[in-house]
Amino acid sequence: MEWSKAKSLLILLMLAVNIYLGVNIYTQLRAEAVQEEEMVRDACTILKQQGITVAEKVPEALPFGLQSHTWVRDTEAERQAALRLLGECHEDQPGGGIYTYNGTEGAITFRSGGYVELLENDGADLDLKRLLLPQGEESRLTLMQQDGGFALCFDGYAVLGAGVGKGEGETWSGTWIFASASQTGDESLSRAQLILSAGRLLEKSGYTELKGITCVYLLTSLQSGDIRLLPALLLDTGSEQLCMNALTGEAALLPQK
Amino acid sequence: MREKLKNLLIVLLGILMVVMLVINLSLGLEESNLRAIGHRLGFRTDRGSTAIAVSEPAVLPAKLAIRGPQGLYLAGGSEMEDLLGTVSPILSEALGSVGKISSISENEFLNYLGGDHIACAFTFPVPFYLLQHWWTGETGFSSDQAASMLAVVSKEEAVAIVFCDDSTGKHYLAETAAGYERFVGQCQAAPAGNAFYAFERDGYHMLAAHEPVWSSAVYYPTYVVAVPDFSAEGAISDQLLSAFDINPFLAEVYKESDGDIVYIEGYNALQFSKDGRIHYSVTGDGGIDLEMDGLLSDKERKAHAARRICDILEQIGAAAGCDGGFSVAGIAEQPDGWVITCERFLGGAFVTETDGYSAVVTVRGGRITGIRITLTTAAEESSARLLPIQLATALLDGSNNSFFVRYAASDGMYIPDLYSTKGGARNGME
Repeated sequence: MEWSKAKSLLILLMLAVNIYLGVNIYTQLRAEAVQEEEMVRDACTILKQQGITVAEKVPEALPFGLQSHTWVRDTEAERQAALRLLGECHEDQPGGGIYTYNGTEGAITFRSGGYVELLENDGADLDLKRLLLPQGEESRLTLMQQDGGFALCFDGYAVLGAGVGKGEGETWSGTWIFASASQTGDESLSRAQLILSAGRLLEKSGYTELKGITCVYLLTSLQSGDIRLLPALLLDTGSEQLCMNALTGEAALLPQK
Repeated sequence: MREKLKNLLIVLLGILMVVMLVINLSLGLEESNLRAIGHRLGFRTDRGSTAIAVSEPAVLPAKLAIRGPQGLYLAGGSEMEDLLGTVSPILSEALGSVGKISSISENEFLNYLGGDHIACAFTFPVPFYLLQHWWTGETGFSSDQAASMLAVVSKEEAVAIVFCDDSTGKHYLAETAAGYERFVGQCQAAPAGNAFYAFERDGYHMLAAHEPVWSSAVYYPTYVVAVPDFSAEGAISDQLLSAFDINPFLAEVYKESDGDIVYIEGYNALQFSKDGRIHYSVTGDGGIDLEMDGLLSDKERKAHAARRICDILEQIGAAAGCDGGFSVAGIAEQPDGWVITCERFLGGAFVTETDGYSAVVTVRGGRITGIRITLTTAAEESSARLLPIQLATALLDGSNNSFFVRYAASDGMYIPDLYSTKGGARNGME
C-alpha cells in the first residue's frame, strides 16, 4: 500500500517537473523567436538610418536557416536514369568523366558537374520526365516544365543554373542532378545578418530601396564532378536584381543560362 | 491493473523528463559549446564535416585566359580563382578524354588562339600525362609530350586541346571527347576582353608569340606577412605533428638555445625554426608513406606522389594557420625517387620565398624522407597596380620572353611584381 502511495507521489512529482520543463522550453523558444524578430526589425531600422528602405514584405519572405548541399556524382544513378529512358543500351566511357549510353531511340551523354546531353533518333518520342524526374520518395528535388524545357527546384526554391532545354534538331542539353543523396554543408547567415548584408550590397550598387527578395539556390559544378547548391537571395531593387550569397553575404554571380 | 498502469506512467514520464532535460540543456548552451560536448561524447560530428573536400590539381596555372565574343580575358589577382572554378570542369573533361595527339606548326597553334578558347600557362613544361592525372584524378595516361601552355579550342564542331612545349619549341593538337556545346557556352559567357596575344599586335616582338598581354591596368592584392611563432604555447598542435606522421605522445621534444624546437620519434626528426621554417628528415627506414602500393608504372607513381605531397603540404599549412595552396614547380629524378619542389599560390600568383621555393620534398622508396617548408601567415591588406606590360617590355632584350606575376617578400609584406623569363616556361624561374 505504501508503495502504491509512493508511486502516486512520484507520478505527481514527475508530472510537475515535466510541466515545468515544458513551460521552460516554450518560454525559451518563444524568447528566441521574439529576440530574432527584434534583431530583424533592428536591422531594418539600421538600414533606414543609412538611407536604405526595406519593404515590409522582405522580412516575412526571408527564410530561416538555409544550408548548402552537395551531391556526389552517382554514375549508377545516371545509368539507371538512362535505362529508364532508353531501355536496353550500350555504355561507353571515353574518359574525362564522360559516360555515354546508346539505345535504339537515342543516346544520352552524362558529363561531370551534372551536364547531360540527349540526342533523339528520328521518329523517337522520348518522355524526358522518365530521365529527369527525381527518384526517391524523400527527394527534396522537384521538376517543373518551363519554356519548353525543364527546370529544377529544391525545397520549393528555384535552382538557377540547372535546367534542360531543347537545342538544335532533336537534341536536349543542360545541367541536372541525378544523384539521390546529398550532404549538407554550412548554414546561411541569420536573417538579420542577411538584411544588413543586402543593405551593404545595395549601397555599393547605388540603390536605396529593397523592394523584395526571392530565395533561390545557385548550382555550381565542382572540379570533382560533384554538384553544390548554394543558397542565395535575389534582391529586387525595382530596376535590377542583385544576387547575394546567403552563406557569406557577398555578391554572387548568377549562373549562365 | 492499477499498479501496472502506474508503472507504465512512471516509465513514460521518466522518458519524457529525460528528453525535455536534454532539450532544455541544448537550448541553454551556445551552439559551439554544445557541439564540443557532443563531439566528446561521440554523438555529433563537427558542422561541415560531411561537406566534400575537393582536391585541387597538383599544378596550378600561372596564367589563365578565356576568349569569347567580347575578346580575350586574362584573369588577374583574385579573379584567377573564380575563373579557375568556372573552367575546371571543361578542362578536366578535355584532358581526361584525350585521344590522338599529333604535331602541328606554330602558325596552326596561333590560329587556334585566334578563335574562342580557354588557355592556361604554367611556369615549367608540365609532362602532359601528369596534367591529365592531376586535373582529372584518372590514371592510365602515358603521353610523352609536355605543355608549357595549353588551350582548349574548337576544331570542326568538336573540342580539341592545342599545347606547346617552350623547352623544345614543339606544338601539338590533341582530339578530345569533351562537350562542344558546353565549351561554346563557357566561351560565350566569358567576361569582357582585357588582353591580347603578342602575335596579334605590332610592337611586341620581344615577347613569345603566345604571350597574353593585359591591355589595361591590373591590380593584385598585397599581404601583410607574419611568421608563425612556433615557440608559443599551443602553436605546434597535434594536428600539425600528425601531418608529419609524428605521434605527439611518443616523440621526444628538445628546445634548442636559438629558439628552435625539435621533435624526434624513432628515425624521424622534425625541427621548427623561429623564422617559420620547418625541416623534416628521416634516417634509415621510416618516412611518410605515400601509399603507392598497387601503382605499377613509374608515371603513375610520380603523378600520385606529387599529388599526395601537395595534399600533405596543404594539411601542414592549414594546421599552422597559413592560407594558400601549393603547386608543383618541378620534379627532379633521383635514385629510387624524386625531389619535388612546390610553390605557394596566393592571390592569383606564386610566392617566391627569400631562399627559393616554398617547399622542397624528397621522396625515396615510396616514402617522404625529407621536407623543407617555409610557412607564413598572410593577411590581405590592400591592392597594388602592376607595371603595365607595355612599359615592362621596354626593359627586355632579344625575343621569346614571357612575364609572370609573382609575390616576393619585402619589409614584412608580399608585394606582387612582374618577372620575366627568357624562352617562356622552360625550366621555371631564373
